[in-house]
Amino acid sequence: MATAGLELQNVVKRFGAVAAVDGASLTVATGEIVALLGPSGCGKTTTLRLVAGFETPDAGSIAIAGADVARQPAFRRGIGLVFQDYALFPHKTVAQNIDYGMRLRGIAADARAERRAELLRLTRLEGLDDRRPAALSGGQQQRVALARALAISPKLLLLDEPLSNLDAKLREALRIELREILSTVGATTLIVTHDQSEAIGLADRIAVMNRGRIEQVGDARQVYEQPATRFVAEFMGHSIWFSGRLGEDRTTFVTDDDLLFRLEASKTAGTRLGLCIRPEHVHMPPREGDANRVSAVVDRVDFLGAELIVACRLDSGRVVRIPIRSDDSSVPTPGDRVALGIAPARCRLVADNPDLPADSHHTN
Amino acid sequence: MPTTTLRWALLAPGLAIIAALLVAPIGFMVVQSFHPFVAGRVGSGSGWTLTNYAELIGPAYAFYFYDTFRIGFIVSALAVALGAPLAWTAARTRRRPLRVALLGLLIGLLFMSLVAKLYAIQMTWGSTGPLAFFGTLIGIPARSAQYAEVQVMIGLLHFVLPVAALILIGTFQNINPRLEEAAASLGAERARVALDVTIPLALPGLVSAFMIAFAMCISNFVVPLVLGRGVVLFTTNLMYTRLTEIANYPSGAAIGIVMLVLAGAIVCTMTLIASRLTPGARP
Amino acid sequence: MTSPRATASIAADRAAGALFRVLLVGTVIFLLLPIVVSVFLSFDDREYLGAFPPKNFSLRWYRGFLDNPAYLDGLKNSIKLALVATLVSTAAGSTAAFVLSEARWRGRGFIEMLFLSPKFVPTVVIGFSILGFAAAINVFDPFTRLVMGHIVITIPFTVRATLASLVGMRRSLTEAAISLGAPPWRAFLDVTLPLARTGVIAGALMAFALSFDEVAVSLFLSDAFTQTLPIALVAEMRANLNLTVAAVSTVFAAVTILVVVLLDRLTGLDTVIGQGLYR
Repeated sequence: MATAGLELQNVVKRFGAVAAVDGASLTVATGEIVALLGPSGCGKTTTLRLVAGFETPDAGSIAIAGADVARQPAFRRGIGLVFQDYALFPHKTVAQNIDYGMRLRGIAADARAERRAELLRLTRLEGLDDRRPAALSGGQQQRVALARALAISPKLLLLDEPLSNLDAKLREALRIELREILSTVGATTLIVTHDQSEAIGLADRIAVMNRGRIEQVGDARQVYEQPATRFVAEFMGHSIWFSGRLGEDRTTFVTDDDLLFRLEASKTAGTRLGLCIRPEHVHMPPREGDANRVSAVVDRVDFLGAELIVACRLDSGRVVRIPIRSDDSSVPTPGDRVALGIAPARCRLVADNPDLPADSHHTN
Repeated sequence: MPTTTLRWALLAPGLAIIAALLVAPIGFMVVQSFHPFVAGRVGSGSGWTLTNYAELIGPAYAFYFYDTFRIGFIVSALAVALGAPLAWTAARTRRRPLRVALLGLLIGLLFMSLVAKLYAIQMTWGSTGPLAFFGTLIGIPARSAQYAEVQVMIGLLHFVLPVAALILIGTFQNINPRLEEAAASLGAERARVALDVTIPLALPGLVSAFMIAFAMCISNFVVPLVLGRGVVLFTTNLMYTRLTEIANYPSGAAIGIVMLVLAGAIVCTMTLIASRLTPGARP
Repeated sequence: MTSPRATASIAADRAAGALFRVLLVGTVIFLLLPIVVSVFLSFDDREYLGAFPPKNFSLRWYRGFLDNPAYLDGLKNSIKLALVATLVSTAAGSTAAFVLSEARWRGRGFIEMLFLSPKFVPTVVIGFSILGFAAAINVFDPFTRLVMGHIVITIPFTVRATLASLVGMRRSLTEAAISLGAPPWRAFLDVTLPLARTGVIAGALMAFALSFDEVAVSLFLSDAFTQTLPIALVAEMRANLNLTVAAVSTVFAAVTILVVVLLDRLTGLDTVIGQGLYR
């Protein structure tokens, strides 16, 4: 069995009475890129700081490259950290910033210069050796921060919201570039982010975190199509949630507002289960095979460019927003009565989160 | 970061300085103020007495305190009134050279020796100076003894105006310019905007600047010494004469303690008013 | 079409604007005037104090300054005093500021207030109290007494200036150094110290200027043989109207301008004052 690049086991960290990290467990294989994804306040930044060594856990263990780091202070852990605000030393040049970690390790000047040149090439920053951070653009600063962290050939690379400080267009371009760099380097990487597209675009696997716990770990497809909990379902993409009761034979589900859905048999267990439906799987009008049908009245139609969002009011009063393509010939008008259909296979049974309200109208 | 022992070790030299050079001497002074005066030595006789303080209540001394406060009050009010336009301009202007020039002027005046300026003030506003007519303008001819008070006020103004202006720059910078623009868009002329928006929001800062200027004025020593020509005496000068003319250390100590208590009271009032008056300038 | 009310309102606004400008320019002139007059007078050729403006110019008063032993002694003492006081005050004060800039430890607010407290004590009281105290502990050397007084009045400035530049520093910078392998003391030397440098220097400059100009404290703690320059000047000013003082004023003004330009080059005057929330 290969030693894991990073292993967290039931890590707990409390601040006063509040547990910011409440029993988090995660294994990152050597060379794997994992994104720790969650909303602000979920504990992901605290987890990062625990791994880096700036905080000490109250319980649980953290191991980097197989070795427990509990006794190791931050400056001995051999971790490459890219901070959210980049934290480039303003009084040093780009070259001096990148050299810093190497100098501390006593690496000779020519070896440093060689490694530095290699990194500058990798991050496409050639020629910027003598610039000061203040004279660099946001994207350039981020790459210098990355180069600096990589210069020490770290056992683990930690990235804190790497793209959040950049504007939207730049973010997308840099995401692709960053992915390439990370793949080339091949270091064990943990990325902390609140942005789904960042997580999906950069990581091999995604760990979704909520309230100090990791609710699901899997690749993007798994997490999206087979959410383990309601939180994950609602955090990744859009979802329509129905609370209700599962039938005895586990192939029917009756919602709280008396709608009956047919499901495919599944092994999902849990005391409180709900139904999760992705709006894009709802067809208007229903297609063959859409065994579940319901009638609704169109409330409003919003034009969004490539698609239209049709807000449909069910007889129970609930409004669901269904996307349809703009080139679809039949565009409904407000007031029309329409039929909506969805295949049983697309109705997923998912465990509910105790802290979320019974019927969350907000997500859809 | 450093452990607790290291922390206190690093603080030790500074704390030692404060203890030995501020706390101990003032403590000594407090003790001395309660001792009786014995002519002929720096120091005092034995035994405890309240006469040093009792004297100060008499009319002769009360007048010194009154004069000091009165002049301080007028100068501080002027400093805030005249410093505000300077500060507001420096805070709001988008022209960098103007801002730097104003800041440079104020900081320069802060650094510039007060002593050196005093002589120049005497030369400018004195009876032989180019602005001597100012005296006749306000009804106190430059040659008269009363004019000394005018000169003292001018001198103090030179001392506190830069400080008041610098504090007010900070105040105005922290008032959202959009609020002033909103008032203007609703139809308020500039004077209205100032009265309805800027000044009310700047009130804590204005009071703060006033009190700092006031504290600086009443503690000032050089200006009444040089420009007062013996006619204007602040309590600070009184302390000095107690010592140099009659070597009465205990009495001087008592005056000093009273001044200290007053200065402390001003600081407390200032912090209280500032905290009460914050009207939510920031959205 | 403008109504009569609108015209009146615009006129009133113009008047208010004009008044504002008058006050602004008037205040600036008020503040600059004595310095300008002083510069002129320092070059006055006349032996006595005559009407302004002077008709003939010479450098006699500058020469007079250099010839006057009282002034030269005073200058020497002032410089020595200011250097010693600044050195001690900066060393003790900035070190304290480094400790005070750390996040929240018990008693921090109180200690910070303690360091800033000399600012709230009238300088006369400081001078007076140290005079008595020094006598009580058998310290009679005037220079030592002066150093004592000048150190205590300058320390709030060195603490505050260093603190100001440290408070703005992001914690992530020292953490970055630590993550790269620097032990905390190394991170302090490599990151915190260089970045606080401007604050320390600004504090030292302020301390020097303050000590150099101080009268009240010096007056109490000096004696007939050990005078500072400001004291010598004050004595001259009260005794006779000698234009040498004008020459000294001009020199002071020139040095001050130099210091301010230095400060601007060093940190930018905007940094010294701060830019507020809305820049």
